[in-house]
Amino acid sequence: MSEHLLAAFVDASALVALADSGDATHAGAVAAYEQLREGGYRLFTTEYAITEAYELLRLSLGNDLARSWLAKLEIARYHLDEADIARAHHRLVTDDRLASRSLTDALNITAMERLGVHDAFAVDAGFPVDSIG
Amino acid sequence: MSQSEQITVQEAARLLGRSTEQVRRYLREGKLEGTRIGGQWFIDRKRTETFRRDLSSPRAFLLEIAPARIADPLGATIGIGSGGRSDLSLGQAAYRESFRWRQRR
Repeated sequence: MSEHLLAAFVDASALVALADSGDATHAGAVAAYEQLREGGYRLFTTEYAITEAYELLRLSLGNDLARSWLAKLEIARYHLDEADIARAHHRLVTDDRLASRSLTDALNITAMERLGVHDAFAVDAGFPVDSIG
Repeated sequence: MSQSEQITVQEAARLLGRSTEQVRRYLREGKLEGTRIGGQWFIDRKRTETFRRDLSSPRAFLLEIAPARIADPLGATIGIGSGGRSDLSLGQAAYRESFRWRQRR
């Protein structure tokens, strides 16, 4: 991979923090997003993260704004294949570092590993970026 | 930038096995770096060869993404609404808890 290519995975927590201006992390998330843009990063996420973020936004902002958010979302999505999913399941049941994490986290980490990406944009301190092999 | 040979869009297209239109799109979207002189693109040959190798790797997905500086993929979603008092740094469970009253309605 070109040494010039910078990429970061965007976690559900960052998607929500950017959208919800009432959250305590909003301003920091906007600043971090601008830094990623200025830094030349390519940003991507997964349908799993989007599903998680959508459900959170339905709860916090209501159905109409959540739907509007989804319509405006233009970020690239990495689609995990069957091998990725099987690997994520295996990781979740065998890697103790993921013992308290969700299946969504395991799937997202697997996507990052598959793409060789080590940077994640998350505001939830629990995002297990140190589990990426 | 290295002192490698500079090639044209036509030569890059041959190297990459893509159309010249596709190469120009890569350049416009910042996926492939080049220099525009007098309306014509010039691309570093070594960089083009690296790009070709990347296109056939599992990470080709990343190459198809325009840099966020250009694409601004989340810009339209920023501050789309305000849920009220919450703090996502405490985790998603805490965030959900902040809006539990809404679930009960």
